[in-house]
Amino acid sequence: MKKRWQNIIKLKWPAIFLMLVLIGWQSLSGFGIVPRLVLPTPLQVGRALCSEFGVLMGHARITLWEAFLGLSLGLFLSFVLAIAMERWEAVYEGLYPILVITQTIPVIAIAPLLVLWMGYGIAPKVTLVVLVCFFPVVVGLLDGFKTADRDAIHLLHAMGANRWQIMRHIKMPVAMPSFFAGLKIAVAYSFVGAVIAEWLGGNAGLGVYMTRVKKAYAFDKMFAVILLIILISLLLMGLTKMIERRVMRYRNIK
Amino acid sequence: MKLQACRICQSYRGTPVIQDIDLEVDEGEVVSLLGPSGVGKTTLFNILSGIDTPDSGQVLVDGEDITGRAGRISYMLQKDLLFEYKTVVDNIALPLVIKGENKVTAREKALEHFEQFGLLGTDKLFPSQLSGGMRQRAALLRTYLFSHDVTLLDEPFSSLDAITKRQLHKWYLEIIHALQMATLLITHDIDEALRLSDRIYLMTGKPGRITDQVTIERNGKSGEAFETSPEFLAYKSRIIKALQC
Repeated sequence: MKKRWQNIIKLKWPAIFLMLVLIGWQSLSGFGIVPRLVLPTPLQVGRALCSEFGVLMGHARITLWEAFLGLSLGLFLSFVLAIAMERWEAVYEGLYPILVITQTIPVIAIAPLLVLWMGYGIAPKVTLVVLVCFFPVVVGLLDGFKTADRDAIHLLHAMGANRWQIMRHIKMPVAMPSFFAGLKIAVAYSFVGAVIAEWLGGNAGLGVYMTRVKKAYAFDKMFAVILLIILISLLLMGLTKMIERRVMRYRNIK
Repeated sequence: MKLQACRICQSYRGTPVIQDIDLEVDEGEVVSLLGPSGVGKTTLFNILSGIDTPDSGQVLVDGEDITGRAGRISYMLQKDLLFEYKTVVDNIALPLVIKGENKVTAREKALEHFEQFGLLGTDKLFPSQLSGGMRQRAALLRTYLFSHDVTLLDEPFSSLDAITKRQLHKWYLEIIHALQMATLLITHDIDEALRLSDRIYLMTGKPGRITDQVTIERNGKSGEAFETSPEFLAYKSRIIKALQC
């Protein structure tokens, strides 16, 4: 109970500053300093969010599904790749530069290509999500494996452990903190990545909705969908943090 | 003879580190290997535990050649190497899991020894919640489950404070005799060696060789009585002279 209060008190300053920003924004367009058509007031945005809530949820479901599929596939690939890179020096040496290069390709540039290759269905979206989220996870895992204690590995060797047992009992668990650091980034990327992929074509999803309201110059709805994306991203990151706490229970006891 | 090392030589980048090491540990015997830092104790330790293969020489357990083969001789280091992400019972059961037992039976087997090792009630805790002495006891139990044959201890108590160390020594002597563990203790602490061992090998020089051997006769004295006896001091001065320190 006491801890809960402390948490609420900690939120005091962020809350005050957020209120100030919102009040400033409200008066900027509320008093007509900026035309309402260009910059809708926070209240208008809130109203749009409420009235469009059902529609938005329908689209959000699609986008979330794409992000989830992409993230799952990305995670699977990351683990396979990271374990292979840890196991064979040649794979590490050979793949690492290529991985870095793939990260310098702008997502925006590759997305239209994916649409051309794979059509307007779910495939290009999932692929894009895989591309954006697997890198931070692979790097997180590889860095994590390196923190394994040499003496601990020796000890398991002496106990007669094979490579997989050393991976399972030492390398994987010690990699968890940096894996989760990467996963948090990947989770945020995966949702935004799915939205970006939807901009370029499709029938449903928050990105598709965005392009539609943009064409209609419905700025309040535009802001409403951005707000929703922020909320969902925060929610997903919070969820990741919860899983992290569960997996690394040993870190929160004192 | 439980553990036997015959004429072990090892060099590192062309320089010999240890030469012609012969040693023996009998069933239920506690033997110390005493020597200054850098004499090659850890090199020898890695060879005996099977992590490294020597240039020449043999390691035998019960007469069976295990040179360069890990998994037969258990060991414990100064750092207890308990895994922070595993509970105490999972840490201790790990050697059994590695040997292919399933988690549940491994835990049960580990728990059977918790009372004897003074660890009752700690099974679901994490190592960070244990005191230094408790951690060392947990590590020793894990070492025991790893192999009942021979245990190598590499300065296992050197990171503890003097009082905890004394308590642990006392407890350790009791348990080691109760379990009849053949033990080779590597240390640079003369008092520790005298307190715990039945026999002491002295290792000196460069490359390191075994230069002397002292058998400890306690004449029925134990603990404090032995430590304050003239015999203890005589052993100590003999060892100091032999190590030239």
